[in-house]
Order: sequence, then C-alpha cells, then structure tokens
Amino acid sequence: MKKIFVLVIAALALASCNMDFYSSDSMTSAQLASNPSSAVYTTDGIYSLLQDKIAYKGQSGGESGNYYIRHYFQLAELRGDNVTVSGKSEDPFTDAYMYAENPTTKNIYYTWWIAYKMINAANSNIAAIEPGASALSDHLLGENYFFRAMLHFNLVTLFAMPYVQGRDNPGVVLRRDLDISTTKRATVGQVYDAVVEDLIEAKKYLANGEAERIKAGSKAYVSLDAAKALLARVYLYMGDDQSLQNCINECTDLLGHAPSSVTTGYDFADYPTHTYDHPETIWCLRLDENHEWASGSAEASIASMYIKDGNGWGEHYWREDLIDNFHRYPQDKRFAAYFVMPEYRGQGYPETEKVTVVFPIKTNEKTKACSDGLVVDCKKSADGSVVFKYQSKDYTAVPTIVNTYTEYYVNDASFPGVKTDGKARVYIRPNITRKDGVRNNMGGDYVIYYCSKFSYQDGLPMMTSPVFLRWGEVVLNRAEAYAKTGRETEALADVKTIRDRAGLTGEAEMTATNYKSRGYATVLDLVLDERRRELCYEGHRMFDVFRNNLPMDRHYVGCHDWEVIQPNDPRIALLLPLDEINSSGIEQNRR
Amino acid sequence: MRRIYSFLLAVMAAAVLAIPAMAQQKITVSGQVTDATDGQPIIGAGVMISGGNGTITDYDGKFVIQAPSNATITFSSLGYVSVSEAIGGRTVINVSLAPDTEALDEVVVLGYTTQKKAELSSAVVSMSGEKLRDVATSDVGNMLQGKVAGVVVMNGSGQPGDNADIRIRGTGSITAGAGPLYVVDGVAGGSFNPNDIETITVLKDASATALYGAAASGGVIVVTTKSGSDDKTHVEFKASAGIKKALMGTFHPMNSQELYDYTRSMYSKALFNLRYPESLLEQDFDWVNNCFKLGMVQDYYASASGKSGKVNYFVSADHYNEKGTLINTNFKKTSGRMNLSIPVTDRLTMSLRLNYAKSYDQGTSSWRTLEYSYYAMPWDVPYVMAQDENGNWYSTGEYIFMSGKTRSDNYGGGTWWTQNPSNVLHSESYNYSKGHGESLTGDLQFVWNVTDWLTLTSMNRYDTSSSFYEFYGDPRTYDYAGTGGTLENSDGEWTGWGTTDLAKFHKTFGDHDVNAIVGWEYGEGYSRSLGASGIQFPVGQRSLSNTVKNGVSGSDYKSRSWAWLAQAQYSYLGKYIVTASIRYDESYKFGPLNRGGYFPGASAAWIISKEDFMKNSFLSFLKLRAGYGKTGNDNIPAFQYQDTFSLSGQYNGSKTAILERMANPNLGWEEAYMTSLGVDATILKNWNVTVDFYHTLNSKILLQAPMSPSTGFFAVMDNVGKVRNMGVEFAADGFIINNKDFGWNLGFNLGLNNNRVLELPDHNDIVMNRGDVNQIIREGEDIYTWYMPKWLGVDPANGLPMWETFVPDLDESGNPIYYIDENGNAQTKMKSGVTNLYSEAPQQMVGTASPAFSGGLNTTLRYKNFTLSANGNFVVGNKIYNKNREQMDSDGAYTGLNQMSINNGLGWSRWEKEGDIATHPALLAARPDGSNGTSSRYLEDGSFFRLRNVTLSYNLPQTLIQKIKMSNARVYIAADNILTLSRFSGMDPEVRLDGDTYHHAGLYASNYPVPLSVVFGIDVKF
Repeated sequence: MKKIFVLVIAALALASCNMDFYSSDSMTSAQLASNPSSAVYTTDGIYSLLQDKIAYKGQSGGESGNYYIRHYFQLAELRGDNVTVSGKSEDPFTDAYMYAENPTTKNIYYTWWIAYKMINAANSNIAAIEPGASALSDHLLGENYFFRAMLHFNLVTLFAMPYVQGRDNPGVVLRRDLDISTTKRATVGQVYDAVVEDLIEAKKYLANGEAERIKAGSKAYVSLDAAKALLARVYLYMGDDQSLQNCINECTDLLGHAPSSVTTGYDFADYPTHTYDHPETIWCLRLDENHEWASGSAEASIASMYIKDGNGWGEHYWREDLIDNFHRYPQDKRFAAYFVMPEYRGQGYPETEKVTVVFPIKTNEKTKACSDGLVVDCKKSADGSVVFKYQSKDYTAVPTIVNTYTEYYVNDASFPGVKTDGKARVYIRPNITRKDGVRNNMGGDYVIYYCSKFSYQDGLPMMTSPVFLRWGEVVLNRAEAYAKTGRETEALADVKTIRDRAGLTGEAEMTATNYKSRGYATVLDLVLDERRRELCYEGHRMFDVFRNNLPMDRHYVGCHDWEVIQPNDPRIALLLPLDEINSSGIEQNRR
Repeated sequence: MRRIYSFLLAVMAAAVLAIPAMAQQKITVSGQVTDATDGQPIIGAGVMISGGNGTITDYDGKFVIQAPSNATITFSSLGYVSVSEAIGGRTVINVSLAPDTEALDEVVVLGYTTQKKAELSSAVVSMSGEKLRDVATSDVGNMLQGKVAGVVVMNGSGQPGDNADIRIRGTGSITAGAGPLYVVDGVAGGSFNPNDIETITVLKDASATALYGAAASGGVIVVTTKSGSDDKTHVEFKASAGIKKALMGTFHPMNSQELYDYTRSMYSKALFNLRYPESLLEQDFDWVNNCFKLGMVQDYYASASGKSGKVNYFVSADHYNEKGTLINTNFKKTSGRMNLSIPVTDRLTMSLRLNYAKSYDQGTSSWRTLEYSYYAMPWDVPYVMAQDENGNWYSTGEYIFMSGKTRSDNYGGGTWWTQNPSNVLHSESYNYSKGHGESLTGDLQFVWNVTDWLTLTSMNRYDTSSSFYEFYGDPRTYDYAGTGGTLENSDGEWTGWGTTDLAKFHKTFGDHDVNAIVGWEYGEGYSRSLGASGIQFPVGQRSLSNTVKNGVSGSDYKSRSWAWLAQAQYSYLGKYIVTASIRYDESYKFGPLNRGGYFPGASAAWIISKEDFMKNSFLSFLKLRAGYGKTGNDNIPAFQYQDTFSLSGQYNGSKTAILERMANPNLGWEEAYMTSLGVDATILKNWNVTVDFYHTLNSKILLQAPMSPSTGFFAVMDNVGKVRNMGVEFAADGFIINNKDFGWNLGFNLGLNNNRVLELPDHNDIVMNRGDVNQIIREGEDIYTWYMPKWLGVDPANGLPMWETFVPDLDESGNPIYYIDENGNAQTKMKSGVTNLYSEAPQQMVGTASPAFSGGLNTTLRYKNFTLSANGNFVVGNKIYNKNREQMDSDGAYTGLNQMSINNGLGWSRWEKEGDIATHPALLAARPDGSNGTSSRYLEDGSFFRLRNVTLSYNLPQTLIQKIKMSNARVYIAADNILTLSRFSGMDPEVRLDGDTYHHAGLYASNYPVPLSVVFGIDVKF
C-alpha cells in the first residue's frame, strides 16, 4: 500500500505538461525577429507611436487626446503668443498655455514617455539593422537615426532651456544604445551634439535606396530632404556663427532642388486637405481613414481645439493683434485661407459697413487674466472713428496710424477696457461676429475666431496629416540665418519669396528701404514677424522668440497671466514628469 | 431520522441530569414543542425545570411535567436553539424552537473535504444560504457584506449586475488580484445562483487555503448548492419586487439661484452684468433628478427537490430583473440549475450538476452621462422650448440637439451654458451600449466507496460561456455626428474543462482517528474574442454589413494548469486535532524557471471543553486552534514574463510593431505566509464567540513596478517587496431572549487590520500615480498611503488657499541652519511654512485609504409570527479622496461646470471678507493659484455606518397554511441602505477599499451611487 502511495506521488510530480503559451494578438521579440521584414514593422512602429493612443498605466479609455503629435503641437504652440485660450479646460493643454503646468498631467508624462519609447525602438533598430545589407535596410537605418535625433531634439526644446541660454544647462536624458539601466540628464549641449551627429548619420543612410521606401508623391516617410531640413532647423536653434553657416548650407542644398511651388505658391486653403502628397510638404505624419480622428475620436484631434464644425471643441482662438498683423495687408492669401469665423467658413475676413468693437477687459479685479469686451452693430464715422455704447456710455475708438497701419484706441479714463499709458487699444472687426458666438462659460468671455490649418483632409473637419517639415520653413530658416549673419539682402530675398507666394507683392513688398518705416528695427525682426505669419499654429513661435533671446509679450486676452516672459525665464523648460523624478531621481527643472 | 436520534440523546441527557427536585408547590404543566420553521412536532426534546428534573417530549412533541409554579422550564433539542420559559402559573406552555444553524455538529464543507464544525482547526466561517438572502441584489459579495469578521465587502457602484469587491484579512497584493477564490461544489470556479446556495463557507486562514495553492492567497469562498435529500418532494416559490432610488448623501449640485449668486461673486460687476442676464434665474433644471429615476428590482424563483426512485434531485429556475437608477442602466438574468445524484451501485454514486444562466445588461452609452448628470448647469434646459402666442415658453418634450454654445430654439438667450456642448439626455435617447452573455457549467462527479476506509472521487467540470456586446452611436447625436454614426459589435467565448481526482482515507483505531486525501488536478482553457466596428450609416441601421468598415480586432489564447495535493488529519479522543497539507502548482503565467510552487499548511486544534477540568464550566464549548500556511498568487494577466510587440497599429496602410513590454524571465509566484491563532467558545450555552489573531506576510509581491518613463517603459511586472498584514477578528452572536412568542438575537463582528510595507527593492519608494492623484508605497507605511500636497486651509487675511511648504530654518541672524546627514553631507535644516501657490507645495504623506477597523452587526427580533431583522456594517478610520471636487468644488476654476453646493450640512463656508475663518477660498474666475489641485483639501474621512438592510417578515399561521397544503408561507418587506451615517461630502462613502494596478483604493470620482431600495416579497413552501 505504502509503495503504491509513494509511486503515485512520484508519478504526479514527474508528470510535466507543456506550459508555454503565447497570445495570438501580440508577438514576442523572438517570434517577430524570425520575420524577414521585422525591421520594416518595427520602424513603422515609430510612425505608429507618433499617432496612436497608447495606454499609460492602464489609462487608455479615460485619457482621451493622448497622442504624441497632439501633445507636441499643443505644448510647442500654446506657450507662444498666437493662441488665445478661453479658460481652464479639463484638458491640461490649458496649464501649458498658462505657463503653470503640473508634472503629473498627461501631456507632460505622455509626451516624455512616448518620445523615449520611440527612441528605444530606434536604438533597437539601429542595433539590429546591418548597414549596407540592402538599399531598403539602409533607408530604414536612416529613418531610425532621424527619429532618434528628432525625438531628442523635441524633448530638449520642450523640457530644457533654449540652447542660447547655455550649453551646460540641464538637458534631457540621452539614450543612444540599448542600455537603459541608468538614467541621468545630459547637458543641453550634449543633446544638441548627439542630435547633429545622428542627423548626419541619417543623411548618410537615407541617401541610399530612396526609391525603395518613398512611393512617388507620398510624404508619409522620412526622406533625405527631411533629415536635411531638420538638421537646418537644429543648426538655426544653436545660433552660433558656424551653425548658422551650416544652416544656410543645408537650406541652400535643399532649395537647389525645391519644387516650383516654393516660389510660385499654392492654394493655401487646399493645403491642409492633402498635406500627404502636397509639394509643400517635406515630411508629414500620414493619417488616413483608419486613424481614430477620422472616426470615433475626432474630437481628440489637433483640429478639435482649433475649430468646431460638427465635431470639435473650438477652444484655441486667434490672438487679436495677430489678426491685425495679417490684416494690415488684407490681400494676404494665408490669412484668408486659415482665418475662420464660426459659421462663416470660407468668407475669410470680410469688410462690412457695420462693425464690431472688441477689447480686452479684466476678468475680475484680482487675476491678471483678461476677457473680451464686445460691442456689436457699430458704424465707422466719416473720419474713420467708431462711436460705440458700452454699458450705457458712449466711447469713441480713434484711429491712429502706427507704423503705416491703422490701430484704434479709446482715450477715456472711464472706459473699462485694459489701458496702457492711459489709452485702451480696441479692435474693429466685421460685425458678423454674432453675440452668440461668444463663448462665455469658461472663466471669461471671448470672441471666437477659428484656425483651419489642421482641418478638412478628405472633407473631414477634424482631419489632417500633421506636417513636421515643409519648404516654407526651409526658406525662412535660411532667411533668419542670413539675417543673423549680416547678409540682409539675401534675407530680404528669402522673405520676398514667402511674401510673393502669399500674394504680398508690389506695395506690400518689404525692402531694405521700407522695412524700418513699417515698424521693424532690424531685418531679423522682419524675418521673425514673417515666420510668425507663415508658420503660426505649427509649433514654432515660442522657439523663434526665445532662441533669439527676445521676450515674449503676452498682453492679450486669454485665461493666462498678462505678462512678458523673458527668454531666461525658467518656466520655458517644462517640468519633467513626476513619475520620472520619483523613479529615477533625476533633477527637476527649477521654477 | 434526526428526530429519532435526538430522542435517544435526550433520553440519555434526561437520565444524567435528573436530580431530585426540591419540594415546593407543584403544578402540572403540559404542552407541545414544535419546529419554528415548519411547525412539525419535535420528538425527544428535553424539557428541564430550573434546578430540578426533567422529561422529554413524545412522538407528538408533547410533554407533561410536574413543576414549581414559579420555576423556569428550558426546552432544548439537538440542532435547535434552546428556549427558557418562566412558568408563571401557566399549565399549558407551547414552544417552538428555532433550528440552530450554528450547531457544532454541523458539517462544514471545505471544498475538497468536509468536517465537523467542532473539529475545525482553522479560521472558517460557515453560514446557510438563507442567511445571505436579505438584500436585494444579484451579487453574492453584496450578500456577505457585514456578516463575516475580517471580510470587507465594498460596493463602489450602483450599476445593476456589478459585483462588489471582497477582501479577506486585508490586502497584501498590489498588482495581482487579491480577491477570494470561489470553489463551487468542490471545484474552483464555476457559476451559481445565490438562491441555490445551501451553505457558504469562508476560509480565512492559510492552513485551510493552502490546499488551494494558486490564487488562494485572497481566501477561499466555498459554495455548496442544494441537493435533493429525503423522500418527500419539496417545492418552493419565491417572488420579490421593489423600487430603488439613488443615494446622493449630502451632495447636491447648485440650483439656478445658488449658481447665479456664486458666479456673480467671482466676476467684475461690469463683466457679470454683461454676460449673465437675470433671466437665467427663470431656468432651473435639475439634471440629477432627470438623469436618475426610480429603479426597479424583481426576482422570481422556483425550486423542487426530493427523490424519485433512487435518484435525488434538485431543480430550480430563477429570473432576476433590475433597472438601475441611472437612465439606461439595467440587468436581467435568467438561470436554471439541475442537481442529480444517482446511486450506480451501493458503493458508487454519480452526481450530475448543471447550471445555466443567460444575462442581459446595459450601461449608459457614454461616461459623460453620469458625469454630466452632476456637471450640467441648471441654466440649461434639455428640451426644445417653444413660445406660445402670449410669448410664454413651454417644453415640446423633445430633447434638444446641442453641438455648440448656441441653442437652436433661442431659449434663455440662445446660450448653452454647460462646458460640454452636447446634451447628454439627447444622446442617451438615441445611443446605447448593451451586452448579453450566457454560461453553462456542467459537473460530473463520481464517488466510489472502495472500502470502508477508502473513497475515490473524481470531480469533472466543463465550463463554457459566451458574451456579446453591442454599441450603437446614432448619427443624429453629438458624439457620432462626425462619423455619421458608429456601430460596434464584439463577442467572446470561453471554454474550459478540468478534473479533480482524489483518494480519501479514513480510519479509526480506538481513540485515534486518521483522515487523509491525496489527489491531483488538471485543467485547460481556451478563450477567443472578435470585434468589429463600422461608421457612416443611415439612422436606425443596426447591421455592421451596412456600414463603412472601421476596425476589426480579434485574439485567442489557451491556458493550462495542473497541481497535486495531499492532506492528512489526525484526531485523538476527538479533542486533539492536527492537520497538515501540501500542494504543488504550476502556472503558465510565469517563466519556465519559476512555474512551480509548493504550498504547505498545518494546523492544530484543542477542544478544551472536552477536558474533565472544564466540566460544568460556563463555557459549554471552548476550542483553541493555531495554523500556519503558505499560499501563492498568480492572479495577473497572462504573458507578462514575455517581451511582446503589439501589431494592432497601422501606418500608411501597413502593419506596425510596437514593443509593449520588457521581458522578465524571472517572474514567479507571489507568496503569502499566514500564521493564525483562534479561539471558538460557546458561553452560557447560547453565545458563540470567536476571536482570531493573524499575521500574514506577503513576499515577492507581484507588482507593476514603476520604471522611469525615460526608459520607454512605465513599469515592469516583477516580484518585489514584502507587505505584512496583522489583525484581530472578533465575532459573537447569540440570543438575548428566546421563547415561544418572543426572540431576540444579536450578532456582531469586528475586524482590525494593520498593514505595513516591510521591504522594497533598494528601499526605494514607489509612487503609484492615477491621473494626478498619487499614493506612495514606502517602507514602514500602510500600502495605501495618500501622497499629495498638504492643505492648510484658507488664509483669513486674504481668502487665499494655503498649503504646507518647507523653507530653510534660519538662525537669529537670518542665516540658514545646517546639519550633517547620515552620509556626512551638510544639509539645510528645513521647517514647515505656508504657500499660497499650489505649484510650490510638495507632496507628502497625508493619511491612508485603509480603514482602522470594519465590521457589522445584525439583530433579529421575533414576536409570534413576525420577524424583524436588521443588519448594518461600518468602516472606520479611512481617508477617501473626493476627486469629483476638483471640478465641482473648484472656487471658480471651472465656470462651465455646475458646482456642488457648499451648504451641505458639513459646516463648510466661503471666505468673503478679511477675518473670515472659512473652509473655502475666496471665489475667483479663472484662478491661477491651483486651489483645486490635488491636495489633502479633498481628502475626507471615509468612516461610515450603514444600515444595510431591515426586513420585516410575517409567517402565515400553520393552522391556516396547512389547510391549503403548504408547509410554510412567509411575506416580507425589506429595505436596503435606508440609513448612512457619514461626514463624507460625496454621494456615497462606500468606495473601493482595494487598489489594483492603476486604480487607487479609496479614490472617489463621479461614481454611480448605490441605491436605497424597498422590496416586497413572498416565499411559499410545499
């Protein structure tokens, strides 16, 4: 009996079953590596990570809007001075806009985490792809070098102080191999050096096998031109004389084979509807009908905050004096193409006999934020002034010529609009700004003007293929580098290229003789102002201002503080995610 | 049989206890002793006169005895609760005895084995199914709430069909599931209808659960379903129906006037007058009362049991129907069971058990429906409004479509005030989110009594279930106008089979009794899912084939488990009992190196009351027991040890691969070592008291260990750290009065648990982040410790918020003071300070989500045929984070969301002028200081007492029901959740007390509150 018992136990203990199981909807690295095109899958994975919503700590469903591109474009643009945000939204983009970001919000941690996830993927691909094996594999290798550079560059521009504030400032974590066992912050200089080095590598490999990867006309994949254009941007941001010359060289190289549309121009309103095969694009992230923004999650798109048309929230508006900046040359095609009054899409900026007066007014007595005051149905008098009644008192908006352009001021101590030097600037708008166009529930009151730069791909208001690199920027990068290295004629010529294609010819041309009278102290000022108009809402403005060591004037309507941000303000570097600080103990950005 | 057995025992008892009575004035007392449940006479019941002699009842339950007229008679019978009656000069005394379900000879089902309750050597609580069914729910977890010491049940949602969370003796796990293992009719897993439960047994300590090894670290709940027993056919019908209302506690959103006044005080006058017309006060829509309606619950049940030929049978059918209090939430379930037991030979019995259930459930079509029932502004009326000829507005009764700030009907100036531009009531009237599922569990069991000391059993189960989910987003609604409608279908199926084969030995040698089992288990499972969605279809279209293809998904996987187990028990003289067990498990969830786990357990018991020196003690029963055991936990998702790429994405028409996870080939079992010591006693023959002490050490805890996000991973599943739970449990119940007409029973249980994190990798803290709310796992602290800026109140001088910050401590001359830390570095001495800016306030530990203690009490009052019973539960000493207040108590940060009224009886006040001592900062539109940021400001005392259930029932008189051939008939009215005592400002302080990977324990957001319900029911037995 006892023997049988022992035997049974022994038999049971020895009975071993196969316990290896695999999920059918994922693959282990070993399974994937056995696939001949695994490098294509994992490189395309980086494009996927730019556009997909990946669950961070299990938060997939509840965290709408978690897309790298959406966060990136918002973090880069909203901290500039083109956008008015009307009030605190549950979406943390408002925190970025207010320069009061919180290190636990999703735009902070997700942007950081996904960037490193993509960098890891690039590192692993760079380690796995043998150089020179085929034209295709070399191109893939180049793409991975490009992404490693671009992502480190995006991180260092968002999470560290501008390069011009010092190479030794804390940068971001630099990851260029598969070892992730230690985590420390490199300096800004070290990060830039690595970015430049990687882009030079990227150029080398992308020069091979172009035809294999890039289908005719498609701008969906990173190309040799993309690597050159990004390298030009990086050199421009570095700003020392050698880098500026390098920038000019890269741009000149690129512009030597630029498509004709760079000079002849194109239909600006049509451009966002098909950036993916448009000659203006150098590289965009190709979103197609399979992307969430084309269906269920349209209201989490980039466009959803810029416009409201069926879907969308419409919470980012044009800053008032940017409208005037464009409107001094009403023939500017870019303005007509992208400026949208709610419910008057396609009408651009009409001139009407009756006008509306808009002006900043303190939200309350304590905060520094401002809302819009609004008076509709006014008329211009013969002398150009506008008399309007606000809270049962009459005021006069007096036209004043400032730098060849008409601005309007109310000079009356009792006027509740915000005053500078005793005068309150007001803005005269077409009176199709309907009263119920006012969004009045978000902590203030705002007159709404939408921007359509990210809308209407395939007719869908919320869809676009976001452009990372395009020819207009290349021209203006060279213009800025010329301006800063004293080659004003060349700089003005590049500005002319951009202005010509926007329809700003003849009287509107900026020349060496007229730019000062038009309010620009230097050619660089003119270049930066042109950059602002050309690239507004595309995530450049903040970097443009701060890399030139200029202050950013944020005296305009919005829920942010009414202040000037100096180029050395520590708030320019976003707080690092608290999860990063808590787990790796690296140094947090100062405040 | 029971009655004859009792008769014999009682004869012996009477003989032993017969003592000559004192001569006194005696009268003749006669009467009948009956069973309180069915009115049948009790044969052989003891009838004892205080301090004197006694007799027993005859075959009609009748007795005649001589007794002093002022004496007291005690009626007793085995299996019944004794009743004492003062004679008070009466000559006829009839009593009915209630069955004692806690009787010590009761056999407790432990899953693999059964055991006499008296001889249990580990912490086990068993109760009859009848005791559970006093609350109106379909979930057995809810039924257990407040009834077992050390078992905390929390019901975080009022969604019909949702299950409560059950935690037995605290939480030692973080990522891995810590819920109990259900064992149904001897096999782990399976489904059952609560109405079919014969008994339920909770195994609390590891000496009992170790035999279940894997997944038993959260305790084991053993469910035994009813079976046919005697020759008589028993038929039972039960029906209940009632209404439910959502509990909102002290919470209420502002009404129109409150919101108007609130808004006015935070704007400049000029702006307010311009933007907020006084006509707003004419609109006052109560969104909560329109999104929440009266709910309904119904349950109809029928069963029959008995014996037909040689076959014992039990069959039942049940239909449960619940309509939730939140619109468009409901749950329906129809189930049936058949249990057959067939003697094949006189030594071999075959049992067949089948359980089938089909359920339908519906939730709201969007999370916004619940949130915006609280957030939507009272100035927004959801109906299309029209004007009559006199210019008066009236509702057309049709919901208005909103997609922006402008109302098409121009009502109220044409503005929509709520931040969300859509009207959730409009969306809910078109869109839906529905599911249904069915499950079938079939058991085939053989019991072969090979010899009188050897039994072989084979329990085999086949288990299959399927589910289907459908989402419809109508093209006419705000959310789906953009896609032209969205339709989603998904289905899934699960099939599993398993076998448990045991050899059981039992032999008695004189005073020695030996029991042993040895066996093995094997199981396989297969699951599969498929989902598809389409967009752009005509209104009302319900077929995916008529949509534009949008997405597809699918997966399948297999699983396998196997184990062997052995247990031996030795008992000497029926009072010294020793048990030891061991189990070996393999889990496919771990890497090849760490799949196996050994789980031993041992326990001992000493029934002290059986010792001679305990004779005549006031303790009629006393047992001391001690146990030690180890259990394992592999309750994590599959494949966590592998590095895997997700291929669900695509780019530019091609599939993409994204690395989801790092490999961890060393991943292995989480282990729990539990030591426990307990005492069971019966005091004064009536009060059953149990006291337990336990100490549980969880080690190699399975945790999604946070990684720095700059590695590209936020976490890796790993075995890290040690957590200790220790505690005391106390339970007592008994009768205060129990006689024929009147009975009063009281029960009380209490569990104190203390949790500490003992060890972490490199002693580093782990910050668990959920949204922007953090808890910290730190050595020496409770596992659920809140970590956030500390709120210091409102500055009386200026109404600004204050948080604690730390500033350098300065000496008299204003220089910082330094000290040398343990590493020899100079550090600046810091002291507590105050900041008005949220961004300057550091995170710190500010309390725990774990309660200090919890428990329940219950009581039953019986008067003649009426019974009034009540049970309540309480939780004390936990902190709840009320995240809802970040939006709804935001001091002006959100002006497009309705705010909660601070006039809620909790003593809250708003700062208005200098010198005000207030709980709430001054109002400021678009405030920049972050007063509503996550901080201890919104951390509230989570203690509460809840009167869980009150039931009044009436048993129809036997004389009446016997005429209509019934054996019993009972009608009752039951009320759930009618009283909650709490200082919590949200709707309901009952929040989840456990965390999981990414959900904090004690985090309260916009929850679906549990309902108050009133149910009327009738039970009839034939």
